[in-house]
Amino acid sequence: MSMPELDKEAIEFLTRFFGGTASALEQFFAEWWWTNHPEARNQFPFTRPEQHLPFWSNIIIGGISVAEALLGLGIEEDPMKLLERVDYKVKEQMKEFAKGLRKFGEGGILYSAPMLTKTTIVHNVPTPVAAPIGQVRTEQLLAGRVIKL
Amino acid sequence: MNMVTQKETEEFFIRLAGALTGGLEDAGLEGYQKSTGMRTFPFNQLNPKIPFCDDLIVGGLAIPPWVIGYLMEEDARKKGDMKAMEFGKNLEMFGEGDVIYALNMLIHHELCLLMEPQIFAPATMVTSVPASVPRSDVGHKVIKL
Repeated sequence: MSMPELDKEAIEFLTRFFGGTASALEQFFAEWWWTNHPEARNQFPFTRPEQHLPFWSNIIIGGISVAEALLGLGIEEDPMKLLERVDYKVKEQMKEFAKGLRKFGEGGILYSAPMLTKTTIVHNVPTPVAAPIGQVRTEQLLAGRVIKL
Repeated sequence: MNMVTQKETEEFFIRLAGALTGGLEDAGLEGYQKSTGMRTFPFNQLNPKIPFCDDLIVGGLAIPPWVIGYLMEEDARKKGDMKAMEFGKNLEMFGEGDVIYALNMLIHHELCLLMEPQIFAPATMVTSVPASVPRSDVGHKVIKL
């Protein structure tokens, strides 16, 4: 692989990677806010659209990434021919920027889509309920005697 | 003429498949931890300032397909084997997607641990165990026989 081609691939990878990092930072900020502002709990965006789905805050993070990618794609493709009247040089610069924005958004989707999948799966995994008195779980029996304090 | 080619669309979906694989590995491990309440390896930390071992494993699993794909592509390029080169490139992109998810997930967990290690608990983890659910590890004493 030639060096300019490798450089181009490296830049594209880094653009996608930082798109993912931006989504991770948005998620961190939302969780930081949730932790430090108890009054914001159980209020939008820290509510769920449905009890089995993730928080709105996480869904919004995914939505921001999709919007970035679509905006980039929209400028690049220009389906409404809005860039026809713009100077050729400016048009080329805008298309280059749009390509970068699309790849940045793609990186965000590559982080937020699995994050939402994971959050949904883990949220719906049932938590173990304590065994009733007099009935001990198998692994506890194997580990030793359980004494109710 | 479409600026975004069919090839680029396919490449995006290959990367997304890689990232989703990482997400499913992560969900599998965390789901298992949540359902069993296990606190031993891989659900422990080597150091309180670094993420849990299960997250590090997910990060580690992302790197081999990326590196193997790249090496395979380069090797096939030298030999002129176009089929193997294509496979190597796809494997590299699959690993790239996984790396983008897993490393950013580790960055997110690391930030959570570094900022406020004592009081910070991600919203997903706290709400997953409501206060009304009795915990099996509280109020009991296990004596090793």
